This record gives sequence, C-alpha cells and structure tokens, in this order.
Amino acid sequence: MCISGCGVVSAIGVGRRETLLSLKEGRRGLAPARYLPTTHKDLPLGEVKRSNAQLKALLGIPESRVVSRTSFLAMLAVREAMQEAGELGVYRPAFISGTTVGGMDISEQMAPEERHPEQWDCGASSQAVADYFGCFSQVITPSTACSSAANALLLGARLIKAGRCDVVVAGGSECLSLFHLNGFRSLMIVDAEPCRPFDVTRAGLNLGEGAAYVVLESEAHALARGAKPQAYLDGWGNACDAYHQTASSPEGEGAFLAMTEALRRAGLKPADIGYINAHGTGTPNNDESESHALQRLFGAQLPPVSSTKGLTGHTTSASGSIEAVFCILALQNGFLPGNAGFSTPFEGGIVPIRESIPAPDVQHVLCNAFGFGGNDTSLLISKAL
Amino acid sequence: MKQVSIPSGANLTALYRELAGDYPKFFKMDTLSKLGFLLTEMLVGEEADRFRPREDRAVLVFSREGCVANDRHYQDSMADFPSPGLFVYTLPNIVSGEIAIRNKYAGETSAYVLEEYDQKLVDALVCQAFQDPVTTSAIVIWADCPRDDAWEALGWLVKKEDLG
Repeated sequence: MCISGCGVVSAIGVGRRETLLSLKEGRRGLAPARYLPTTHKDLPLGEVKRSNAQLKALLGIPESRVVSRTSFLAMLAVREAMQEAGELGVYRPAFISGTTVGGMDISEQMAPEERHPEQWDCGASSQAVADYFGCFSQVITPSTACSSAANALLLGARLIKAGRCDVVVAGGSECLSLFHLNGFRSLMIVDAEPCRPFDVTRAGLNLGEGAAYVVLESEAHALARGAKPQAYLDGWGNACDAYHQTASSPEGEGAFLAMTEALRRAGLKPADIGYINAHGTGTPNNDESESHALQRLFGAQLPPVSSTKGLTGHTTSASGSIEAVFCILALQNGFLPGNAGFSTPFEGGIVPIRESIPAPDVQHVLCNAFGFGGNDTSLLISKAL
Repeated sequence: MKQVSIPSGANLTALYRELAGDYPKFFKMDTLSKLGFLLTEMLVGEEADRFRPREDRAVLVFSREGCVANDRHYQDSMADFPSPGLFVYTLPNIVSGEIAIRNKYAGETSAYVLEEYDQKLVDALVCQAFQDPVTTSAIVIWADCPRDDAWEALGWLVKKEDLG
C-alpha cells in the first residue's frame, strides 16, 4: 500500500519541515496551557502553538465562523498531505478521520441549556473538514479512543485492497478539551511534570493535541498518475486486549497480537524491523505492558525503540497517524527520533533510545497505538526506495 | 445470520437478570454499553464453549450519537468533581471493549460513528473485518441512545459463510 503524501500538526511543529527539525533535535513541545481555558495552570500540555484565530487565518476561514479546533488542525494536515500527493480531486478520494473529542471544545464552552453536543460530535468535526475541501466521495469517522487514527489507516488500506476506493486520505485529529483533560486527571494518570516514557520515575502522561493524515493508494495507481511513493504501509494489525476498559494487561496480549498480525500481513519477521515507535504514554501501566509485549515478540534482538510522546504529549486519537508520519519522516531522512524524558529503565522494562540517532539503513518500522477499550493497533511502515 | 434487538425503553436490569445475572460490572456500565452487552448475551448466550478465549471473533459497533447520553452525565459531574466512573464510558468503543472482556474475545474490535444507519456502508465495513485469515465470525451492533430511556439496539452474529 503506497503512501503518496503526508501532513502533520502537533506541539512540535505545524507541517513536516518544522516537525522534522524538532524530531531531529529532540525539541519538546510541552508547556503550561496557553489556549485551553483550564484552571490547572501548571500542567504541561502539548498544545499546537497557534490560537484558533491564527489557525483560521492560516486556512482562510472567516473570523466569525464557529469551527472545532479538531477540524482546524485536521484541515492543515490534510492540506499538506494532499499538496504532497499531487492533484487528487478527480479521483474522488474517501476521507477517513479518527477522533474521539470531536467538537467537544465548542460544546463545553456553551451554557448547559444551550449545549447541543450532537451538533459537534465526532462525525460533524470530520464533515467540516470534508466540506472545506469539497473533493471527498465519502467520510468515515472511526472512534476507538487513542487508536482511532491508526485504525483510520488500517481501514483505508483495506478499502483500497478490496477495490472499494482508489485513493483514501486517512488519519486523525484531536484538540485538547477540558472534558478529557479532567477525565484523564480523574483516572489519576496525568503527570504534573513533563512525562518520562519507559523511565523508572514515570508517573503518567501529558495530554497533547494535533492531527496527521496520509494519502493512501495502490502503487499502480500512484505510478499511473505520476505520483511519487513516499513510503509504504505494508502491514497492519488490530487486536483486543480484552482485559480492562482503561488499563492494559500485564503481559500486553493485545499489543503482542496486533504487532504479530502486522508482521504477518507484511510477510516479514521480527528481525526485519529496524525501529519501533512505541505507544509509550508514560503511565506506569502502559509502559510495563508494552515492554512485555515487545520482549515477547523480539526476545533479545529488540531493535531501537522510542516513544515520541515526551516531545508531543499524548495526542490521544490523533497519536496513531501523527506517529506514523514521524516514522515516515524518519525513514525518509535516515534517522530515529529519541525518547525525551527517559534516563533510567525500570525493572523488566525496555531501554529506549534517548536522543535521535542516524539510521540510514532502516527499511521497516512498527508504529503502535493502543486505545481504551483494549483496542490495540500496530502499523508496519516501509521505506520508499 | 442471527439477529436480535432490544425494544426502546425496555427494562434493562430485568433483561440482565434474565440473560446473565452473574456479571455485576453490568451495573457500572452506561446505557450504550448495557445495550451492547445484552445484545451479545442474546446472540451468544447459548453457544457451547462460549467463554473459551478466542481471536477469531471480531466486534464491530456502529452508532449515530455514540455515548452522548453518558457524555452529558460526565460533563455534569465536572461541575462538582469529574467522575472517573463516568469518564470511562465517554468513549463509544468501550462497548466493544466490554463485550470483548466479558466474552474473552481477542480479535479485532472497532467502533464507528455514522450520520445515519447506512446498510451498504455497514455491510462493507463488516466484510472488511473478514479480510484477515483469522476472523471467522463477528458480533455486529447498531446501538444508538441519545437518552437513557430511548434507543435503537440491534445486534447480529455474522459468520464468514454468511458473506457469500
């Protein structure tokens, strides 16, 4: 499955160029809230460093129009992905956009009696993006918590493989909201300090926001229209951990099954994988469970691993596609991003790479995204030659 | 293909006592999850070997408004203190997770929010779930409950041979 374009927006950059620099230099985008009207003034958050007014200006949307920040972030990333892929309008692509927060940023600011969340639901936030571009034949919104965007890529690849679509723009978007910041805090898994994935002192995640999309099509289709493959989505797997709504099983069963399925679909062995972008949220539970799943699959031959959530925060539903685009940038530019915040491993935990390292020979990488509900997805991305 | 439904406004607690009765976690669930749970009990309750862990069964949940009824309850709780018990259910895909946990299904799970029930799209997405060599059957749920006392709730047990 050919990836012919990608676009990304997160706390470490608007667009591929800024993002690439931040990834290489390990620049962290975590800071106290500047745009989210939270009373938790000191919590580090991975906000996209643009106000809604600035995002509207970037997109040429009139100041007076009410649009969810989830849609703004998506529009920027979709625009960048489609520009890279070349003219797509005539192919009537499908738009598959994962989100869970949707337009909650708008409904939560309304007085309770005027609150109509159904007008700002997940599907509405995707539809607003489709309306902005006007070229999509259909809009699908998978909503599987933090694996939503990864599942959008998985679904897009399948629709193309089954001959139901020629071109799919797939990814996800999520803005910060009080609704889920307070919810994650109520679950006691938000760290008041910058997060430290896989570190012995890790004490939770920092929430972030962003969006990323890729353009998917068969290689034959890409070449026929003169598009250049940027990378390949060679494998994908989804499995249910079937353990707990908001916690992972100790042995990481769902993660193990998802990665195994992604490898099987790509026809590759664990030894072929040169890097894993871990889900690595920085919660004690996730990082322990994911470590065990990785050790089960790779044994003593574990390739370099890092979680980039110490840079961006956990961008929840968008994390799967944001990190998939990080993997594409890494493959294209011959480096691996580092695991900001890590210094000392915990007992039985994996040792990630701390800082970005050159890696010109890596051909295949895995990118993990796990969601509440035990919804675990792994994507296998390969370098374009 | 087996199809089941729960009439809007039915007494879900009574239904739970009739169909299951051994899973007190049911009482913690939001209405959407209760509907998914009960539909699945109706679909597979009689299956031989039903709690044997398996990877060959997918769970696909479709909805119009997801978990909006519970979202409102959680949002109300934020005025006082955000309730973790309610926050858990502010995800529409928790339904598929609850079904997988109850029945020990480690197969594919997914949840989709559709503007309206769209048979063609649902059929297409269900077919996609059977594309891997593992999946041989799927629990398919259409559950929509904008309020706690009014809903649409349909469930199907789709087997690979049903796809034709």
